[in-house]
Amino acid sequence: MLLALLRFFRGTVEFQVTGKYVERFLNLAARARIPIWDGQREADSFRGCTLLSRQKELMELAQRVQVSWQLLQVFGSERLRRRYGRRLGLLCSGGALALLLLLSQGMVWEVRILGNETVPSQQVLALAQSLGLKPGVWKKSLDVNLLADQITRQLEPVSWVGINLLGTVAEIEMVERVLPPELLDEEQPCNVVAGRAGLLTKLQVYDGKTEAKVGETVQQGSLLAAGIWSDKLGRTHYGHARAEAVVEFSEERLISVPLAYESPVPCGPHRNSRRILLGKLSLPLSFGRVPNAAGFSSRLGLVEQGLYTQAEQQWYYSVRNVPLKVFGVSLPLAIQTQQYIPCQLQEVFRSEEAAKSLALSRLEQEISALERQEIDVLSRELQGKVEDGAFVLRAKLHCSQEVAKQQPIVLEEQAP
Amino acid sequence: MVQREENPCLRELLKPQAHLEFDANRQVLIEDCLGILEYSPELVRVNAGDYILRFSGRDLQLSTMTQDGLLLRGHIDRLEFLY
Repeated sequence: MLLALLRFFRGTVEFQVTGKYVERFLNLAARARIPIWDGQREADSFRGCTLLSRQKELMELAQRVQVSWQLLQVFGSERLRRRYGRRLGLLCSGGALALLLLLSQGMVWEVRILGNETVPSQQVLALAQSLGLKPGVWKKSLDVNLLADQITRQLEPVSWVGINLLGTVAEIEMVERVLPPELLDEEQPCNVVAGRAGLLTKLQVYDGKTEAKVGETVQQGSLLAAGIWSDKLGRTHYGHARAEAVVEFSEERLISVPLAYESPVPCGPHRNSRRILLGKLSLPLSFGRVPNAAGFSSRLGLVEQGLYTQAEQQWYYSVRNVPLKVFGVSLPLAIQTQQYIPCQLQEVFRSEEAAKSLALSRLEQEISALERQEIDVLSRELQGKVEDGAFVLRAKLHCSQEVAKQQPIVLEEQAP
Repeated sequence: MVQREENPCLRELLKPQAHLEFDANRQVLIEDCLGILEYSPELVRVNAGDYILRFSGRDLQLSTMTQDGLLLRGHIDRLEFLY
């Protein structure tokens, strides 16, 4: 790569020598330290490349050993100079472009957010923009430490913010606040009750008096461990009951997937409309008539997609914004592609198998939702059949959940 | 004045010898050779001083040639040392 670059800048020529003494010519060239590469022998001729600056010497050698010299091509910077050297306009445009690129290196073209998990990137971007950090600002005009301080102060769930300027990219790196667990008020007497109904399969009381047994059915709010109890002498004790309890219960899910449904089916050629986005400016790149060229959001990626009706014709549309990049550097320009596909709503039929797999995937989604609520699905019983033009999946889920819930006891002197 | 006699063994040892470096049968780098005697896509003969290196094969190309050595590319089927 480096060698190719050096050769490009020094300029290279491709030549051909023809005659009886090609080998002698090559030996003399080697002795004169003239580099030759990419050699190819064809009958009584030899084709190769050398540096432009050594071309004259090679020509003299060719003359000396009586082989005919033929210049085939000139490559590299010299060729460009020969071709475009006299075209002043092109040179000026190239120079202007180079200058623009050079100037653009002093600006921020992209703002990236790193490290956020709960804070939406759009919120951080909007805040940064209101504080002056946005694409198109001069890097020198930014006080990154002050900006980081301001963002930290204004974003509640963030504990630390750092801003790094890497080339034309401003990276806002953040660490979100980890809230400490709620402190238990050990002085406050409380009971432990069941958070939901079910069959109690585990009960471990750490503090307080046990009020339920494993194997019993408990209702939501049933007392599991009491924070008030009396001893053998009849004295009343107050305490902060703590316990761990697991109940098992069953849940039923009914998922119905229709075998016939209406779906948009393309009924004509699609139309594309492209626009160039520069900040709030949106310039059309194509002048073809499109059904709806209304202003869409300028945020990057897939902006919008869906169906809409215009003059009794339904269209499926999708709008996507792609940033323009030069040598991997994002420019503050984006290309918006609006695609419109004319379509008709038609009744589409799906097979029983397809409906079944769709129903199963929906069931998996529901199970995932349960798991997010810390409910373990221990087993499942599935039953599926076609009823009234739909595949109906009945699922009986056997679940377990940790249900111990502390409930403060309001004493008379504390009561309002 | 004492004339120092040259030791023929030492001279033999110090004489540059051709150094060959193969990359399978697709490429060979020959250093310290004295030039090319014959060159065609099927046959290349190289002067290595005391002997001649005879490379035969297919599509033989002189990829690079300098005073220090040459790089030969192609399908090398055979190498002979001719004295």
